[in-house]
Amino acid sequence: MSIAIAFQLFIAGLSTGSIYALVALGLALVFKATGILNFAHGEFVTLGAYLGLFASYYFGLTYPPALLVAVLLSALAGLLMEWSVVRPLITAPPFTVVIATLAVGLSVKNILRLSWQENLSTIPGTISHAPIAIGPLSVNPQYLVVIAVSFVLLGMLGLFFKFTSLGIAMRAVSEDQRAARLVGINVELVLMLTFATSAGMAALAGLLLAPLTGVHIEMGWIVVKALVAAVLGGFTSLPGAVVGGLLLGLAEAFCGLFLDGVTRDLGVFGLLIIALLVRPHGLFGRSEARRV
Amino acid sequence: MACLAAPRRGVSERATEQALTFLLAATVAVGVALPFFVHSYLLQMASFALVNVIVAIGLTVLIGQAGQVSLASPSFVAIGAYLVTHLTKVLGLSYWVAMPLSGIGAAAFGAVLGFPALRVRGFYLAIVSLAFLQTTSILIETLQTYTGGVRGISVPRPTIFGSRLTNFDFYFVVLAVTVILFAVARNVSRSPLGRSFRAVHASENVAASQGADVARVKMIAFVFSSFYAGIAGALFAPLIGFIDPLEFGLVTAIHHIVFIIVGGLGSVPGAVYGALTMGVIGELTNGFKEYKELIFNLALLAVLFVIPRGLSGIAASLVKFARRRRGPSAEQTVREV
Repeated sequence: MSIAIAFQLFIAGLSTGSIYALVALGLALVFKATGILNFAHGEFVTLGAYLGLFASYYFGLTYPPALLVAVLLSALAGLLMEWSVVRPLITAPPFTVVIATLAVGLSVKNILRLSWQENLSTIPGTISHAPIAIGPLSVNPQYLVVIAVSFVLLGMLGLFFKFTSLGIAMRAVSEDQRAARLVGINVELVLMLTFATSAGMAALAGLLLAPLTGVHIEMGWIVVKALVAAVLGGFTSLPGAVVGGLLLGLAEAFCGLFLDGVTRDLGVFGLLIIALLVRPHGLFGRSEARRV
Repeated sequence: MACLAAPRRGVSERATEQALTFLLAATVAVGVALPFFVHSYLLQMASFALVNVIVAIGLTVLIGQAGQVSLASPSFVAIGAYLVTHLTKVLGLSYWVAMPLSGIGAAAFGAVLGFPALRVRGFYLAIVSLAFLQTTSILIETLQTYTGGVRGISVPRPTIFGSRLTNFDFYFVVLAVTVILFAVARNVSRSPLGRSFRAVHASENVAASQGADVARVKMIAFVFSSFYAGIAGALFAPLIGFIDPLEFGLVTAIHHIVFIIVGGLGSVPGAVYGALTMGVIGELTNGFKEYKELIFNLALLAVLFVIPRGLSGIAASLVKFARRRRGPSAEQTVREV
């Protein structure tokens, strides 16, 4: 394997991986805060891409403002979901809430399918796929955009969770709701904002994915990969979700060198099972205390 | 395991029990009478619903009672379906021998999935089972000589004394198998084994301290549940006459889980009525054409809002209600003090 190929695989893997990381982080954030696996998360990826498409198609927005509008509207949708579905079911068994989020997600998907007839569309105004040359190496510029945007956003989120009072409140709620309430945090508000942040991140991932794969109704399936990534990183760790996402993207890219499409997935799943057997709580997850 | 003694039942529990037995008997009666009143299409749908009932019963024991979350149920249905096809079509075995063998074959693969469960728990186990599900669907596409690959494979209808079974005849086969498997599962879940399932679910450490062999109990739960799925697959294949590999994906796994959530997690009768209810809702929403799926999903959401604890939860609240009417029994007061 020459250095050039390795470099290209690295860039491709890193860009897919950073999209996985964005989706996985949102999934882990909500899980930590509520103990609920949000099965609607994948459909927020689809929703983001479709809203971006609608914004540019119906209102003639260019890609950057369309992206902003789509992310904000998706965040609002996430907030509404917390308020209308998750909160009323707060006393229900967790499994019921998980299936309820699934029903919401599938309904969103059905509505999108009914409101847009094309099977595959592109959002106009995204940058071209013509490879650019860096010395002897050539890369798809879209990959670089994806990597740049994701890393900037992940960095901003890191700062947000570390330094702003809202970010600290979100982490506090995800650690222990009762303790958070005791120190005067408005838990309900923080939960709504957590869902909104998570949905916004998913939507952004969808909008970054759109120029690579096109906008289509099955985009939400990326959530399965994100789930794998989050579990690989240890589901209770937010940095773990990011690292898991990047690792999964790189593993896929490099497995793709030796294996073709279908067996590649097999290889990736094989790696996952081995990783979980060696570390049953993921790479960064804390193992629960086993008192006897 | 002997230490996990049977709980004592109160008066209101016995009353609910009797009501449930009556309901089950009535359901079987309706099931037997159904073919004489409906046309072939609805009968076929009823057969599919019964196949789902079988999967749901196995799954509610695994997920609801033993607490082992698995998304791999469609894989075992697939294994049962392809095995029965191969055994009858290629090896020329009689369907009546091949069907139980397919269940046993699926159960053997269930043991394979059971191994990671000895080390990996909860959520992480769900992901391992997802990997298992994806691996089987990839293998189905790859092993074309056995499965027909993505194009699928046709399955002959079984014969009895040389004559081919019609939809009408085969419905009774499916019904009989469902009733037998239901009775077995209901007895298992009330046996010491069933109680050790629930003990492992509640706390592995406590279960172990009470003498349950946790690894063995988990393994039995996986084998049990995949046997049910395998039998369901072996009934499904000749029923539909053609196996489409796309039937066995994550969407189907989620459907199976919806059945047991709507029924009430861990309840065997709940699994039956959960699968039947969703079958009926699915059939009712069929008329809405392109809005069908949307209305189905909104109906599911509505069901979850009305009965968050599932159908078996209704029975539990009835018991509580009856108790409140009558005032707490002496036994209960003692327990609470």
